[in-house]
Amino acid sequence: MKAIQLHKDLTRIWQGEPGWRGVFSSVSHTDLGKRFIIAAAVFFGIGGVLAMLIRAQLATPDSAFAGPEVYGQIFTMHGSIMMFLFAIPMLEGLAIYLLPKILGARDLAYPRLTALGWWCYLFGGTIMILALLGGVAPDAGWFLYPPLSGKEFTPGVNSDVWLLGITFVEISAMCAAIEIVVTFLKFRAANMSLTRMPIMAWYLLATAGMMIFGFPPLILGSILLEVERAFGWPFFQPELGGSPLLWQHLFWLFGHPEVYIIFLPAAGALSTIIPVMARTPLIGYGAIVTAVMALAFLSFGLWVHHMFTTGIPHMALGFFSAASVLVAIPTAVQIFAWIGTIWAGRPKFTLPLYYIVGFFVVFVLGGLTGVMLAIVPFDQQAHDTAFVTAHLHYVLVGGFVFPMLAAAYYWMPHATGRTRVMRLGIAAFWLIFIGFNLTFLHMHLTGLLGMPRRVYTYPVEAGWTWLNLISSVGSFMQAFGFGLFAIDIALQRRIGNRSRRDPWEAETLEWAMPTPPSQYNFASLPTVDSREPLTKDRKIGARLAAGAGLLGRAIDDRRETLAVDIVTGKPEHVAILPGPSLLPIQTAAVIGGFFLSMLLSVYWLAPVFVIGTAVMVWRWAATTGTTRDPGPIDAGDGIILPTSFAVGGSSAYWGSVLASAANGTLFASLLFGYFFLWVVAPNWPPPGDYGAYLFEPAVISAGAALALFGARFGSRDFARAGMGSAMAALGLALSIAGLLWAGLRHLPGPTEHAFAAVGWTLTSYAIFSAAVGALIQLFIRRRIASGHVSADRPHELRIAMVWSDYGAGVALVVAWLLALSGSAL
Amino acid sequence: MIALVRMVSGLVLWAAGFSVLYTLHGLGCALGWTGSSVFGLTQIKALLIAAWLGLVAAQAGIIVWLLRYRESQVDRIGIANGWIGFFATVVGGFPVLAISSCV
Repeated sequence: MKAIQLHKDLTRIWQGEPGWRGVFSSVSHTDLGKRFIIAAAVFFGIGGVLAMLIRAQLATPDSAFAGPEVYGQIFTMHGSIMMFLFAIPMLEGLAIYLLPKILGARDLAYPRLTALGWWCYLFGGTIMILALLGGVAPDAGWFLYPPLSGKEFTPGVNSDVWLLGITFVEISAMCAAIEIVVTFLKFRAANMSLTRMPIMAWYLLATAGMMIFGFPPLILGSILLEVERAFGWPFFQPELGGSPLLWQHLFWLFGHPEVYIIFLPAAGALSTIIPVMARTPLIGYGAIVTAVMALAFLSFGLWVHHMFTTGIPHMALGFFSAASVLVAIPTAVQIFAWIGTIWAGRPKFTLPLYYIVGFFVVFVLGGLTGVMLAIVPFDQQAHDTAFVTAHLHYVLVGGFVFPMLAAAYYWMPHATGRTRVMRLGIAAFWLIFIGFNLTFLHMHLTGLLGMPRRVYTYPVEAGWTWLNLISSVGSFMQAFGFGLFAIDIALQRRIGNRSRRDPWEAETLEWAMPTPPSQYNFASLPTVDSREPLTKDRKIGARLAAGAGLLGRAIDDRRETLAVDIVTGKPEHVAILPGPSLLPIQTAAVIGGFFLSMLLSVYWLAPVFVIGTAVMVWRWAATTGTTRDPGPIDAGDGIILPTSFAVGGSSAYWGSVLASAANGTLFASLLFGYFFLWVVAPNWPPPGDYGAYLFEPAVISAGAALALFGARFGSRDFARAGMGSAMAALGLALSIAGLLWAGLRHLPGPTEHAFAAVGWTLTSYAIFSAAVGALIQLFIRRRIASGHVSADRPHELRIAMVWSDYGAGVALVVAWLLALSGSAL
Repeated sequence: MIALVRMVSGLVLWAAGFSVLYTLHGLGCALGWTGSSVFGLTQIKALLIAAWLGLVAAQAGIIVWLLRYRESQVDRIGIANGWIGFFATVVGGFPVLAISSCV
């Protein structure tokens, strides 16, 4: 009876609001994770239909099925949808659904941020699909190289749709990345030390870390290209001191890590599923974690291998070629560990294993052609041919789609509580596997015979006819396979038999809960002493459901979960999480207003939405915290813990640190752009009188120093904290005034030359960063006055310090860089 | 947290070293450091070789530092990552010896 009452109480606390309002206000990671996965699958279907149109066009020479304008939109949207609206959101959905469950937590670190990410993804993706239906979709290729994507060659809104739509969607990726890292670090089962982590968690940590550092260059590039198109700032125009190669660098600084960002979560699923299917522990846990970390870093040293034919000096090509070959080693370590695990075990040839075998065949082939393309002379021959198209599909479909299909069958009983009803999945597998290889295997040959990528037709004399026809037949076979897969999954969801708990006899914590899972995951939270908690204790699920673990009670309608020490997993405090809220969708709508006003060229309206976003974030932050410390909580087993309101190392602090890291990466990318153009672009700097100046940077430095001092003024004596916040805000305001004055006095107009455009971008970024810091310090003053921040709950002071220090630091760097660049000219 | 930082320190140093080599190369070629320097090497090549050797030495130093902490599996993963950083720096920087600088 106690267990049933506990279930009822926790359900009341954790369930969403009823009706349509609940749809819009849900912050449940289980609901939102499933929404991400379903939406990504829908986008995959749309991208798949576009792929079939591509293959219909290329099936025969001189085809009149689609003209070049329409074909340009089709192949651009196919690539863009698959990368940005399918692959990344699918991995986000998997992580959002799974991470708290495998870590033994009740939710992610920031439930409302999860919801904000979902709505940004949905709105951004919808804009792109509406543009496709309206015939104004992007048409310059999925990596949108200028000058083709610039105003001269794409005068319509096509490129703007990509730049704004994708950037809108990327907000969700950044939200997900930050909360995955913080959840990994803090929200785990008691005693789950780093080395007791499920292997999937390490993969998700590496992925999220890569997203934090990988996405900002793309976001920056998109901002610069959109500003060039909208306002004529010539970042990428050589005749005005810019360079289209800058776009390529920024894009591939994101684009190559992106391949591993997509691959790693799928590899995490493989490392989780293979030992279960092989009925033996994973071989080489430590080696795999090492390989994953190595991949996460080394993959940032490869981006130029997409630019081997752009005239870069041979030595630089050598650096990137070497790194491109090196990265195969940690990938191979994982492949051998998986093969060894299957070899050492007693594999059950169930449906997930079919797709895993498919993965091995397809991905290894893609990896081998990847090593071929890493070698400069070969790449120069195969560059921009169908060989590369075949290679990238072997890597991405092999490395992501096949593992995700295995993962779908593996975790479907968890998400639905049901088992498969028919053998459609086997037929689907063979159709997909044979169809895929029929489409792409001999496409390598098509490329080596000289067929370029992205041509909308070809003459019969070229000799590519039968190769293309076979590819088209194969693609339609694949499409039937994916259709069968969708039917199989839908049938399982609707009419599958009830599954028992843990049908695969797996050993990770997500199976220690009733399926489908409740909103709170665990009625009480586990304490673990091994990496496979279910191996030692198969009844752990029943015990947790009966409330025998930690926090196994419902008090004051609080949504509680455990926060632990990062390394040891020792319980540290009880995190109180927020409940349903309309703030995420409202904030996403206001952000969407900004993107739409830019897209529709109503530029005067855009600042209104920027201010609106700031107001929404202020409102959002104002709903957090408490004015009354609930005091220490008895978490069970005699463990007394403080709440998150009373501890300094709160998840919000770590979130701010990670957001600053992402922000800093964007700033570093901008500085890279500045120096890149300085050494590479023609006519840099423009002729003119640019002497060094000292007065303005001195003023800005004084303001930054005041901000740094003010943010620390109350750290020893809380009574001075309000005064300190005011000083910090004042200092940042002084820096803003100095930056603005320096720009107006010393920089030419931003449309005159790329030098001025980058200078104004740096200035604008510094002003924006300082303004954010100042606003947060003013917010803290209000929080001190309202009693949310007190001597007992001072941690928001630390959070504000992160933001205002960042603003002050950026102002200092920009001020002196621009002031001294005059003397270096 | 320190344990996590230690775990990836070899890889962080590799990333920093890679950036240093790429930046020096770009700057040297742009600023025309192609005059003859020591042992018949161009200035840029001599600089890059010196930087590469310095980075290899730093990677070796990181390994020596990491070997002081070997109790836990996280520490051992850190040592392995240190070796990966060392190996990647040796291989990744090798073109400074083998390939002409600014052609």
